[in-house]
Amino acid sequence: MRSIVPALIVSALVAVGCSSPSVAPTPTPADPTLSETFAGTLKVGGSAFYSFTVNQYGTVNLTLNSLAVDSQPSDIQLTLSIGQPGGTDCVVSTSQTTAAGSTPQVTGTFDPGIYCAKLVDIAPLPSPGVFNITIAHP
Amino acid sequence: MRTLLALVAAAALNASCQNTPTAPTNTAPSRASQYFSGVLNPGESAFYSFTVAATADTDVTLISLLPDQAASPALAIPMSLGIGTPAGTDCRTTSTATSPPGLSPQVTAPTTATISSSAASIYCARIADIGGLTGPVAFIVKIVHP
Repeated sequence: MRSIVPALIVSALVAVGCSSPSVAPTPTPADPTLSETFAGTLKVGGSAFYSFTVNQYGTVNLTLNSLAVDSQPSDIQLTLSIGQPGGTDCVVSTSQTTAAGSTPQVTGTFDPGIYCAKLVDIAPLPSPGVFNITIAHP
Repeated sequence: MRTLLALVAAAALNASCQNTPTAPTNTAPSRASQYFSGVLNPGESAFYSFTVAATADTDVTLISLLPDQAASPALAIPMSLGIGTPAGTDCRTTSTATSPPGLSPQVTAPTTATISSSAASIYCARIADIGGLTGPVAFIVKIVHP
């Protein structure tokens, strides 16, 4: 018995030493500290996208600030999305159908990398729409 | 003697949980081909985004440029070609060349894959008219990337 005990203690210590490392704590998402403006004219039934770089893991907010049709403010709903550039388009992962407003309509947390904001006319618009989107990201 | 037995047992256990080292290999990463085609008007540019899966060079080749009409002869007009990253509504190029269509890559640039984020491994190939186009052309660009 005495000869076994030391071996068991040592082997237990060794087993602890080569066990899997503990799981790293989930990082806290960084706040969006940078802001980019994506503005343009959306064709009837068309889409447009804008690429931006997230520099660290954190929160991305998209706000469709305004939409004007025939020089008048419009409450027509469009699809606003976040995705990744792929081919000649933006491959979306998070979407929201929304009218223009002052609070972010699409939000999410993302790892560092290149992403895109995409706006699609689903109504369709009666004529081309002039839009303004704010992209806030870390 | 008891201590010796304990040490032998511990050594055996310790050896059993160590990773066996493997010799590094120098195998080049496999590369995939993608074709970017479209129609370009005078003064316009276009780009195509792709994701690299490993760190290695990416080649871009303008392989065909034809008037946007059937049965027309191929064009040898120099075009601007580039490799970069998507930014805003365009592709921000870091390596560029001006060349007519050909069979060999006109632009080659190192591209890096980031394992922790596929979004960090996105690049783009760009084609632009530099003033030589007099009408719409159909182009085909071959992108070979890891």
